[in-house]
Amino acid sequence: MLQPKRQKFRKQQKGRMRGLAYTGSDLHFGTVALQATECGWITSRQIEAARIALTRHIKRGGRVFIRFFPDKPVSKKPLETRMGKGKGSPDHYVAVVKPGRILYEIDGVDPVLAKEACRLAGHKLPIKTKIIAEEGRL
Amino acid sequence: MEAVQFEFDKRTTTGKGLARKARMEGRVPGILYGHKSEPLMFYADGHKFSLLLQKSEFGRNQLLAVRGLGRDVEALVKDIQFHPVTRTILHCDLVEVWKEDRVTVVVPVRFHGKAKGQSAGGTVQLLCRKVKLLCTPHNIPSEISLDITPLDLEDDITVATLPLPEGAEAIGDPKVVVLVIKPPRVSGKKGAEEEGKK
Repeated sequence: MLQPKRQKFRKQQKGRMRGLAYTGSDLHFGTVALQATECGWITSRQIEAARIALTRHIKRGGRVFIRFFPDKPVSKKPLETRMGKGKGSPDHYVAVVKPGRILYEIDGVDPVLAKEACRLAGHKLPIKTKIIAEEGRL
Repeated sequence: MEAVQFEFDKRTTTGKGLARKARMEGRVPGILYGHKSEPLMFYADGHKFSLLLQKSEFGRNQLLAVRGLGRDVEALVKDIQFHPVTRTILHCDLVEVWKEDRVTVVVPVRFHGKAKGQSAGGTVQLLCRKVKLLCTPHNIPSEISLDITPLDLEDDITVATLPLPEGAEAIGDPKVVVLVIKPPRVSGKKGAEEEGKK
């Protein structure tokens, strides 16, 4: 699963997800892509599940590009613990995704196959997504 | 390439509030500038403008004959801002061009045919989808078409060997590989055995 190799601070505040993803919102590496239309936190497990769904469907020949990274640590308190006594320890990592963000790109396969793979991958994610293609794009 | 006439409306106001209002009415704010003239602000019909660029075989490189701004000039799209989700045009920059001037444009690269190397198990890798060209506005190609049929395994096409139209010149490192026929991957054991034999 994806996670940072090293970080400056172990714990982070929640933060807010406002606005749109102006950067990382265009196709750069592939011909078909999966784009987020909602904001949300996507865990590294979900990113991996969607990647597996993509690669299993396209089988061989193509290449998958992951355009987002889970760099935000999420902390959690142990079970059956009373409130207080400070912030819990880091539990997992999430990627903060805003509407417009390109999540995955596929290159080197038939667009029909790539679109179906993107549809399957989209079901593994907790946010609404749409499939975009390079063809006819300005 | 023939310039396509497009009617623009003059714009005198600026600011995000008025720009948003205009976008709500389906008009796209923009600006026209050039190194020999004063900049002109305009509104364009968003739907018609995006249709024009989408339907044109030249895409963003379509030469426009600007009308309705008091100065009939030819212009190229310099920059377009899109909404990240809906892909509607938010703002457009046009740059005035002259017949004799050479302009820098980004042209898509496409390939056709089946390479010799593909029958031997190789795969085509298009490493540069777009190439920067220097040419006159009326000589901008719609695309750079590569015939890959004579290419064998590990053969490549670089920027220097690109088939360019007359008068056009590629910008950038001539050694950069645009397209390559990659040999098939040899899986773990087999690959190791073959390497051992060598």
